[in-house]
Amino acid sequence: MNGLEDSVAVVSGGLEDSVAIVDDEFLIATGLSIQLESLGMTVCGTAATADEAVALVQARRPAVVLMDVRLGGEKDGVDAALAIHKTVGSKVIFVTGSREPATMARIGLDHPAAVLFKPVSDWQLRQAIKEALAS
Amino acid sequence: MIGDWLSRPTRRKRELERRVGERVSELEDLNARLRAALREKTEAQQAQAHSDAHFRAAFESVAVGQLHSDLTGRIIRTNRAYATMLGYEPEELVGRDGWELTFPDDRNDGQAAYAAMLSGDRETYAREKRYLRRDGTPVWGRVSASLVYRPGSGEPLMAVAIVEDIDEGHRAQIALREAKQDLEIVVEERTAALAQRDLLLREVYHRVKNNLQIVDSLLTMQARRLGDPEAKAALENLRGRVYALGLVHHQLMGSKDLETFDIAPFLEELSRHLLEGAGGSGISLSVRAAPLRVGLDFAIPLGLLVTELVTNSMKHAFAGGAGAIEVALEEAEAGEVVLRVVDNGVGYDPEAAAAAAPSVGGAIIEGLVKQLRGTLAITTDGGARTVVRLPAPVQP
Repeated sequence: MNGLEDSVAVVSGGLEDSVAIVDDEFLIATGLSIQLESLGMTVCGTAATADEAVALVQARRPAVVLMDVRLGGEKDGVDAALAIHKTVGSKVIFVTGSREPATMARIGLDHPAAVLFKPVSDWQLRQAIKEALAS
Repeated sequence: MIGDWLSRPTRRKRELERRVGERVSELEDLNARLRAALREKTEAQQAQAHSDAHFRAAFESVAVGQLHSDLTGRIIRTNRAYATMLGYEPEELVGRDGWELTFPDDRNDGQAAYAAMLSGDRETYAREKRYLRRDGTPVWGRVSASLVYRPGSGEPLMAVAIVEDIDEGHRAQIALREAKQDLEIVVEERTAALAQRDLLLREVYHRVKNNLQIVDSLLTMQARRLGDPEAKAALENLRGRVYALGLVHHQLMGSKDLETFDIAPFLEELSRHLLEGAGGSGISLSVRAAPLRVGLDFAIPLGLLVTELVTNSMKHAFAGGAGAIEVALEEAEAGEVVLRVVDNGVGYDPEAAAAAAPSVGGAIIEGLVKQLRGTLAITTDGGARTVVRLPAPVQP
């Protein structure tokens, strides 16, 4: 569980060394927050819809966003990721329960930093964030 | 001039005789020619009669329907094959309008094609159409007709037609076409049903994975509140098991039939997870798995078995130090699958195991081996060596 803080230190481009979590399931968002915190990361907030996510990321400018694909509301995680990509530039890691081709194709539109499949283990999360920050 | 008197009648008589002789000869000649002509005519008539008889025999006896009709379509003669095809005696059809014997729906097209032949636009009239049987039912026939012209003038005289009964073949073809259409509909419906089933299965797997993530989150939330390291470790073990369940669904979701997947990549990914979860503790883990297609019923218990066995080795074999674990799955003969988990740690002590409090992991291992109708053997051979023999999963 070490080494992560070093990675976060290299965050640049005016972004905060924190992570935003987007998932419309409260328990999943909370669980992921605890996982991240236990890995030594700072969670800047959670959002349940695409619009909330964009607003949160624009306000807090986190280096990394964990993004669910299916969200409540009309827009999905890919819509939010594209908007974040354009306005803030945070690295987006998709966290999805699905690996069906349609979802994967949609995720591909955003050129994500990583795609993780639920349930997500601690080491997968740590690895993905490390790689996202290093790229 | 007695000589003259005598001689004159004699001369006249001779003259008469000569003329009579000439006339007789002429008559004889004429007679001979007449006889010859008569003979020729008789022979020709006989030949004609012969030919007519041949023609009639051929017309009558062939298996294919034939009819002659005048240019308006009125039937002059038909043979038995044609009449029988329509349920009549040949004599009954003579004088009837041939178009009445065509099925009503097919009359217009047929008449148009026939008119085209009459007007010289086409040489023959040939088509497949339905005729009308005496009992009102349709029968499929293939007709081909052409015109006979008056010698010399070139005026059309009558139409001759050959009609083949193709009803059986046609019905078979229609039945075949209908069967094919029915089949296509069935295939389409099945394809749609399968697509629907795939969609639903993916949705179910998606939801299962989402729910497992929720379970994982609940465990994480709970673990954070616990101070007792043993309790924390127990919850961590639970998370490992939940992860194994999620991985099985992940494999299923990526498989073509959404029912079976190759166990080898699954075991590799599961082992990698177990190793990485241990956090770089100097333990190495190798996986050797033969390709084997498995379904949910086999993969879940097997995945949990491997999770427990590998977790056990990592926890107990190396006393915090480095070590190596090998996971191997192979198909033995006679439909048997053998799972081996071998480490080079401190080894298995049956007495110590018996003395220790029964563990959840141990209960899971024993129970799942039983569920899979397998046998379990744990030995020490420079480390712990667990061999599980299982009946190979039934291939779908």
